[in-house]
Amino acid sequence: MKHILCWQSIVPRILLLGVAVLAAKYALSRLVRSVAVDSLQSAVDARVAANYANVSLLKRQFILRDLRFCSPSRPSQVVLQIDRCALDFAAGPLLYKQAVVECGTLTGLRIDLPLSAALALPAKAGAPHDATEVRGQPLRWTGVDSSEKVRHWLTALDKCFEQQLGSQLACVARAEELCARWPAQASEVDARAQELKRRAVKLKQEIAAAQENPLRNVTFFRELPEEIATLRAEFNRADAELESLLGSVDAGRRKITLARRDDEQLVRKALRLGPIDAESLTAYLLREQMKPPLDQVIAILRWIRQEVPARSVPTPCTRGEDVLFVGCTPTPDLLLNKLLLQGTVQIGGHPIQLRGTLSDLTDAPSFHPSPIRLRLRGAGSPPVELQATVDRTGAVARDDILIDCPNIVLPKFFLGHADEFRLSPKPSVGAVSLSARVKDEMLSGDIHLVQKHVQLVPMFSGQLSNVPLAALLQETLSDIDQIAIRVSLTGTLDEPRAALWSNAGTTVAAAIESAVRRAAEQRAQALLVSAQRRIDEQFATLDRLANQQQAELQVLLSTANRELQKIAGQHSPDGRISHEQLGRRLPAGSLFR
Amino acid sequence: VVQALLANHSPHQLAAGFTLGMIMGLVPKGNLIVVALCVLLFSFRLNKGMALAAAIMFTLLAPYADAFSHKLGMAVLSFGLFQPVYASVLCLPLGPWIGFHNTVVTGSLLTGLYVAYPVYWAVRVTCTWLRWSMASGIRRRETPRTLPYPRNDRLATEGAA
Repeated sequence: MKHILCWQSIVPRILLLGVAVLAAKYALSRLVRSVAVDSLQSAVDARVAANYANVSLLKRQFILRDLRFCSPSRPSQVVLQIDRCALDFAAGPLLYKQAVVECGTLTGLRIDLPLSAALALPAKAGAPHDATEVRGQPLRWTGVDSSEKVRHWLTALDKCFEQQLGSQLACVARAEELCARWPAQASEVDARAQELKRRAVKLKQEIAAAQENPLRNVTFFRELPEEIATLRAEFNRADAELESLLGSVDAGRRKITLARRDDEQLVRKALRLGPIDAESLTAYLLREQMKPPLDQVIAILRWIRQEVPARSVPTPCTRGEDVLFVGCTPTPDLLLNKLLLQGTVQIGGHPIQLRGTLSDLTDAPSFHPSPIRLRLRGAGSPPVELQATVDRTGAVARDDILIDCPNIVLPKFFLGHADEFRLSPKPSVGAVSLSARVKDEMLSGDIHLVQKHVQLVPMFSGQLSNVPLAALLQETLSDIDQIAIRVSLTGTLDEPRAALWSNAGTTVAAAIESAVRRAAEQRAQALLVSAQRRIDEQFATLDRLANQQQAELQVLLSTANRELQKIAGQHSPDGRISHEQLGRRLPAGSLFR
Repeated sequence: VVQALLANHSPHQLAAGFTLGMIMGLVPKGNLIVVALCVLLFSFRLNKGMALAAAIMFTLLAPYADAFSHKLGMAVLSFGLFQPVYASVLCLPLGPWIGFHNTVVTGSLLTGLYVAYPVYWAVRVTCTWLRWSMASGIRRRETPRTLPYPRNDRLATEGAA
């Protein structure tokens, strides 16, 4: 006995036992970490890595640290990161080949990517990496895609404001024509006046020459009154032509005034556009923008249905088949009763602290009486609540997702299309709520988004950038206080459909129509004012020219007329001498007296 | 190699080791039945080398017999009269770890047990013959110092008993 209790034999054995325990603990930790990583990899189809693992058999606890889930396509990209995962196992179920986690905690959970990217993990090796391609068809909108109508309307708007209406105005054309015609007509009258003047001067010279020898020019003097009368008649006709020319200018001015009225109507008609369809505008503004979040929701639902199938199939044995005896109830091999979650996710570009619980998570949900439930609540501001239920307890599989963000700051986003027309609501407080359900294969749900105190900034690009509308539209859009959007999900998980409703189309359509009306009025006024200015300039030039030419012609005609009157006065029939008077005027000694 | 396998064990020990190894090889691993067979192997005075060699060999061959084992196991486990017994055993602590509810486990175990005695007998005869022929060969090369084979065999059998 003394020999057995000798410390020389006890101490090495205790030390050996300690080394064996430590080695077993180390080996067990490595083994369990390897098994856990392999199980997670096969469960979520992602590359999983864990830096540290510890197994405590006394506490029945398993701890993993620095757990990282990487995208299989890009191993350097960490999708999900968990700082610490602690699972407390129940001892009793292990006797029945069941792993039951009574309580677990996941702390430091971080999803660094957007949800769509995080879910873009292939279902199987070699499967497509896009989540929407994993199963089913892409989301389709109910009703006809009427956004083409809006595109046509915008093209018409561009053409409407692009057309050169100034060159089509008849009043300007007529004024130009009148001004162009005046110099020719005036020069014609002027030439005639000059000709008349020349003829009057010539007549005067001929009279002077004839008076040196009146007897020889008896015939000339006899025909002189007739010549003078002809000349005077021509002078009168030239004067009348001048008057007529001035009258034609006045008539042209009246016609131009009438044409201006017609032009005004023409311009207003050309700048008038039909109303824009509010429903089409809603589709144009929102369909493209609402599609990514809807695709995310569909991807989440599909991912849930893929990971937790509607009907649980027992894990196939590698060899043979496990028989379920009469009177035995199937039980899941793995069950997490309660898992406390704490972490950060990115929502709308903002990191949000979330706390919550994941309960009744099993590998065979149909064998467990309670559905899988996930409840997450935002720890700070903004308040965010997320609930998800995966129910496989009944005959019909049912998945529910409920997200409620009653007071969230919505980031800046764009409505419409960047290459044509788009609205940019400035960041403001809004409310987002989502409820989606998949019952059997039927999809239903609603997404509500209400953005309060919204400030919309319109932007025209491409061809429409030349349309002077943005400033006016921003003025009219300032009357809009809030935007409400509702998307209803229908169809099946394989063929999802969505219906869109929003007040954005109606209010923005009214604002656009008002802005277009005002812009058209301004454009018409500007065109008509410009035309009137051009007409006034033309008429000012014409008046100046006409007055100048009229004055010159009148001076010319009056001078020539005066000369003619003078000549006519000297050689009037009353002033002519008879043969007797002529004889008496001869000298007394003259033979002919 | 043969000498190493045969060691100094009697044909009975060699045959028993081979038979137990065969059953271990046939039955899928990862259940308490195999653990129990291992305990049996290391508890009795059997030839461990022969048992391990047989286990490895039959582990490689066993998948070819899975179809038959599955049918046999399914037939046995589906037997209506024994359902309550099976269920009660399965519901016992460590019951699912036994693995008997798997068709191939039960089928291969029953197959192994069924062929155990013929295999045991055949291996024993073979080992006896091998030992005798090895002893004859040695006698021919060297001066015979030992007694003839039947006496040796009888002595070895008595010693093992």
